[in-house]
Amino acid sequence: MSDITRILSNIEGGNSKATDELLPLVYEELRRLAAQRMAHEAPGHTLQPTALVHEAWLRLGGEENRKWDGRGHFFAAAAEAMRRILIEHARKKNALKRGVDFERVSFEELDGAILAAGEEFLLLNDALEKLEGEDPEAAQVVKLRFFAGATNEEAGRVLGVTSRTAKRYWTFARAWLFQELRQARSKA
Amino acid sequence: MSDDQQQLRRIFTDALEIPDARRRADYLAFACGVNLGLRERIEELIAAHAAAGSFLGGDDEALRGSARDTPSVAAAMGQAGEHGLGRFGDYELLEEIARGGMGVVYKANQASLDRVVAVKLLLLGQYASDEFIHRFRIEASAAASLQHPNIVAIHEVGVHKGQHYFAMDFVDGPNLAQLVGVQPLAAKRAAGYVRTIAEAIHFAHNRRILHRDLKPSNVLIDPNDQPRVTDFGLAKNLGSDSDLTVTGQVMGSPGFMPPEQSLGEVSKMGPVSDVYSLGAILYYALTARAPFVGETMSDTLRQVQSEDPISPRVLAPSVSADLETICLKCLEKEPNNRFPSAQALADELGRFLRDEPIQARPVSRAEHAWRWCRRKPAITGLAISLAMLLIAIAVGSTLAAFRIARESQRARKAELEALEKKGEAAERLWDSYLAQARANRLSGRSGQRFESLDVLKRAAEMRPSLELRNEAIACFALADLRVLRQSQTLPKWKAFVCLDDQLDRYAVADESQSVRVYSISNAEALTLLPQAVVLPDATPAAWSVAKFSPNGASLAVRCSEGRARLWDLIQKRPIMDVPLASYEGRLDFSPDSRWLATSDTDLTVRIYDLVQRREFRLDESPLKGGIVRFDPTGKLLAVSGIGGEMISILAAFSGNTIASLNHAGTSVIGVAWHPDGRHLATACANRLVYVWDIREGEIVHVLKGHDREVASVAFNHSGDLLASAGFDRTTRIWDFKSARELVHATGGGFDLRFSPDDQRLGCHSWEGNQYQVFDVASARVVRSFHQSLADSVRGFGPVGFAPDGTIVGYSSGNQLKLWDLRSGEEMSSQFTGWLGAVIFDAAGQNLFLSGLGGVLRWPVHPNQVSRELDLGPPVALTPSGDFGRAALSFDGKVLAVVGSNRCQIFHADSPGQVIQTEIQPWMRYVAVHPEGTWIATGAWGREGAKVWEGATGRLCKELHTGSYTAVTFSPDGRWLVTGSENEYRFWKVGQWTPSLGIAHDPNNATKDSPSAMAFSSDGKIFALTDPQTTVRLIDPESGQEYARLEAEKASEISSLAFSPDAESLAVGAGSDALHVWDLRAIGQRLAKIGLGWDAQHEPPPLESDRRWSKVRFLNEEPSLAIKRHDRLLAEIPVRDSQTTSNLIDLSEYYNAALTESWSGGEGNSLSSLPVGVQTLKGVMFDVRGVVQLSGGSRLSRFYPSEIRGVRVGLACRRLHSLLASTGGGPFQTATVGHYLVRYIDGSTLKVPIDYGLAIRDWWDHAASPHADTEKFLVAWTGSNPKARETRHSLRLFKWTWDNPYPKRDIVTLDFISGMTGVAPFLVAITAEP
Repeated sequence: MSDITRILSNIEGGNSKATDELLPLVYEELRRLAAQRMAHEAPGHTLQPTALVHEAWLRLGGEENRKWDGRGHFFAAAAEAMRRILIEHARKKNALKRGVDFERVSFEELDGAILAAGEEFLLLNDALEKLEGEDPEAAQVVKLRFFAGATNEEAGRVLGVTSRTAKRYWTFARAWLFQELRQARSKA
Repeated sequence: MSDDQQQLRRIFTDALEIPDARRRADYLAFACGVNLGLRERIEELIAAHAAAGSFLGGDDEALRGSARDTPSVAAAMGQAGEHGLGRFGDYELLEEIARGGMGVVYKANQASLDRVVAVKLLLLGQYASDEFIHRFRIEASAAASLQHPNIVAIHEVGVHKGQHYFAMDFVDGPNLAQLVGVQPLAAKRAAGYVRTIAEAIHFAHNRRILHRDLKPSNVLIDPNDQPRVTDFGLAKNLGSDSDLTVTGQVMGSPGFMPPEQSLGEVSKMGPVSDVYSLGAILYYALTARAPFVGETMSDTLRQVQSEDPISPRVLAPSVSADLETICLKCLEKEPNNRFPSAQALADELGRFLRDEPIQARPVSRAEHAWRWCRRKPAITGLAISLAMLLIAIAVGSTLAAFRIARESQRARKAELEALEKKGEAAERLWDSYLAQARANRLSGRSGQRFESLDVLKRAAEMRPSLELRNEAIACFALADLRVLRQSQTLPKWKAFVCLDDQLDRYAVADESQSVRVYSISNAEALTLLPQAVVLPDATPAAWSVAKFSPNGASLAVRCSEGRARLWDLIQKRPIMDVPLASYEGRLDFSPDSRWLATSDTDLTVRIYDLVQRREFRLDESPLKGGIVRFDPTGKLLAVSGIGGEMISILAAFSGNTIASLNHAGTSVIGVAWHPDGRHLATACANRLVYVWDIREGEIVHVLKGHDREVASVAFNHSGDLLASAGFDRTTRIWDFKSARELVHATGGGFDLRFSPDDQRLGCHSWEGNQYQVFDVASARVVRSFHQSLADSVRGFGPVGFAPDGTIVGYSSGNQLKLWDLRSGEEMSSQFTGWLGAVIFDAAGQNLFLSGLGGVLRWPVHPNQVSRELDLGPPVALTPSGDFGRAALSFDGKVLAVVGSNRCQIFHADSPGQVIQTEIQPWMRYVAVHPEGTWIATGAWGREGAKVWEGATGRLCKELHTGSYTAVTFSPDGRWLVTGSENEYRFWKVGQWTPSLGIAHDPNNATKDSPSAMAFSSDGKIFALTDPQTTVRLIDPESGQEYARLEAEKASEISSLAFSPDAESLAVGAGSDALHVWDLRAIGQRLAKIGLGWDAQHEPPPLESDRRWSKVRFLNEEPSLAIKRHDRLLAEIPVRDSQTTSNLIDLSEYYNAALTESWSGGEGNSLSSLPVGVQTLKGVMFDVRGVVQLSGGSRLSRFYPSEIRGVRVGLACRRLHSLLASTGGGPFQTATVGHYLVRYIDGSTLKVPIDYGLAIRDWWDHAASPHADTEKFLVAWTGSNPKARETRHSLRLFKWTWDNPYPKRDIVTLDFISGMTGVAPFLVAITAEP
């Protein structure tokens, strides 16, 4: 039994601490994968977070655990892990711009549309944290969909709501975040 | 997640799913109701959604998918499109007949039964939330259960292909909205329809169904001319627990919905909510207009909540008074004032239709005015139109101003007629004068006093009368403001005007580069300064061009870019130049004209010594130049950047910051210092004026009234008035103490200032090209002495004068305050707890107080040389006990006090001996014969007055007076006066035979019994309250009324006292205020307009009219000091050094140990509570002692009323407090006090500790319903075997406060008790970081 299967079955067995164990595992795996993939990809290629997460799922042995519940927990952890990776990336990129530090950034091209400006991504993350304070469900849907590539249905199942409701959360959160960023930008 | 957030998300997504923009806007208005903030936020998010494009990968998986499941109306329509409107299940849709918030109604043919019906389809179709569909179904099933000829019957409720619908009778006729159109219905027809509908609605109410959306379009008129109610759109089953509307959500049609519905107070809605809507329908039928019509929905809602409807008779003069009364009674804001049921309304309309007298009585101010007019002998066409005018004005119609103007014309026309035909015409003219004066007075507009008095004077010349006199007194009590003089308007931006502080002169700077000074009174040119000014190119700030020094000797003029030059106006030569970099910089002179301060955009505040011609430069302040203003002493400066949020109070010569006044969220445009140097008013862009107490750093008043930014403020020199001018082009006068707006006038501008005599107010226009000078009248005949503004306690409000007449005492809440009568200055205050009487004896030797703290005698020690007055230390006449009203014999030797349903009599000659009368339930009133021979008492709700022997307390006579009998003796001892529900009656003392009787005022419809009566010391004036907001002054010989005194927006009067010289009358209102009427000034002013009164009273000469320099309560301890309980038995354990700082250290505040038996009760100890740091309800507390506050009870001898300055020193998300209280008495709910939270940035927050129903008493039954409310968790329950009153247990509560500023460091906390009779105590405070 792989680590992940063990943890997931622990979670289902009611061991809530297991959730904490899941995150670092997924985080490390995603990092490793991203770095590996970037090393082999041609410059200019965009690596999709979604693809990364799915690959991580397979590599961590998720297929042994086909029940949705386990997959749902994995998604939640992956979304959080992916978000942290991207923040890290954006911070480094910012530091780079300011000439503070230089480090080879391993997945420069990761979803270029968002990461073109590291600062922008950090703003998004700030906004997301704010949304989390006000409306945790909606924020969770964003993490799942945006960072882990979950579908509405998958996100809905993680949250225990219908896909239609998840979709409504997404629509709301997207408008909310967009407005938040718009304001942040106009202030800056 | 908060409900708000959930609502935001739900409404947003619902709205987004409505493709049609207009309908979406309708839905938003509908769903958000009065919550305009929410609506704006959603609109913002919808715009964001539209602009978001591919943000975060776009809004994929759109509604296409889900739309497959449930066909929409549009889809149904689409199918229908193939053959006419087509089929919908069993129905063939024929045509759309109506469309509303919830659905579309079609005329349809039901195939199976081949009949014509109406089918209503749920409008939002597939996007409807479950809740929405649920509501729709409930609506239909509720209505389906109603079978009544005047209710449209429902045949079927169903779902077809996901589309919810119901089928009902098709009524072939117009609805009432269409029928009325623009033409009102005849009164009887309208009344007939509404009576029928009301009966149908009553039928529904009896089946526990409310309509909740009654409006003209929901009333269909069938071919037999019978009205039928349809669309139980928001019906709520009264019996059902489920509340089908989202909390706080407004539903219904704004113009016809009752205020409780528009406020979203769903729980308050009941059958009388439908009665309101029935009244609104009647109003509509009579006037072709909804009772409230606003430009926007929110405006309409505001009117529904806060304005009275325009009288229907103003809009449709043919409406009878009775029908109007019925209609307005339905539209009362307060549900209890409406007809109690729809049937009651139907019955009343039935009486109207049968021409029988109706039962409803008009009650509003408008009705009073109307009835006043009807009582007038000569009801002519003119008088009727005047009556309508009065009503229009009384209800605040916007047409008032116009109507007043028209009325003046009528009056003049009548005047001409009067010349032609003496006699009847003269009476009409007199009537018109009085009506015009009253109209003006009630208008609340500029001229309310000046113009009213002008016409009253003319009426008095024809025939003086009591009515005119009362009208004049009411006018004297008003402030007024009107433009006295204004200069011509100079070319904009080409010439600038400024006024001097005396409002004698003005200066004009213009393109000629010269400055000319003119006299205001005759426009004579006084001084010319050539080449003195260079006007700016850009639009300048008008105030910055020129400014006179306060003494008028010099003038500062901006002479070129970057410089201002100070001119000596007498010598006409420059004194010095000062740099003033930009036009945003400002300057100000110190009050003594010696110093000049500038505040500039180069970040500096500079001060110049104009005598020595030196400059002081204050350290660079972080404030961009803008406002700079010397305080009245010239030692402090208020400084702020233009548009800054922060006003800094700086010491003028050190630059040290004394206080920072943070206007977070708005910017300050103008400031003014109160002459006391303690208060500062700030005019702000958010349309408000704030008044700050700079010592406390707190906002004490927020003045609301301007419709646009407020830009200029000024206090008058006596400090009782504040003027403000705003970009709404109005100038407003406010009462400083009550923060009420007194009057407003059109006009105004920058640089408001009062003339030295406070009779004029000057300013220059916003563009600087014109000056205006207003006439100002303040309500000097009545002055308000208010309680401390922070004191939220309601008291009884007894008043008393010191025998020399210079000091008036008043108690409201927990404090007794003594004021200097002349200056209105507070001389001293003493924490006394609730009081029922404040009496000085005639010799000036003692002050007697009775109240919850017992009966106390405070010896008075005057020092005539130093003019200092000391009171105390007090002597307790009773051990303790709860007492109310009291009275004293003339020699001060016999004191009678009511308490515990009996009267206790104290004789100074036999101290220690107390004589008690028998018990009489609800005994509340007491009077003592001047010689102490007799004591009279009266009771609430009990018949009669009782007379007792002063020496023995034996009952010697019972008088039949009626219930609620107040009592007083005349000063000459000849009369006992009783006032009851029935009448006022004089009784011959000794024989106890009835004499003079005085009837209640006919306007006192509720027959309020007098709450207070008083004689002047010479016995020549008798004052009584009747009704409770009005004082009537009566000649006790004849029973004739001299006059009546009615303060504007008067509150219920609880006590009256004449000053010894009878020149002032103090009126105490328990809830909020002490008013003192200046009877001498009233008499003088009345005489001037020919309405003088002839009260022949001879005031005794005063011993001294010199004021006291100081008044002290001798046992007064500094309020911040901690009073120790004198039985502190145990040591407080030392705080554990490991205790973290977020467990707030209360060591220095403990005044009782946990083990100690305290607050007077045996067994009142917390000894079973574990000591030390421990977790209670999930929060760590440092539990070592008790901070006991007195709460105004008799404990005040032991405990302080507040603790201040508890150090916190950190930022926190929440504060947890472990507290409870003793006492509670009759109070069901209680705000027992508040925390004053002081943040690091100088801002403060007042946090009420509102026990609500949580804690009536800290010992409570196990089965108490009050335990564990949302905010108050029972944190600890201890046993208390010995406690006298305890039934089961003691409790401590954990009360949690969510700090709205979790990132701001809290410096200190104050804990201030605020409720009489409840003594809060505090065990621990913990800050949650």
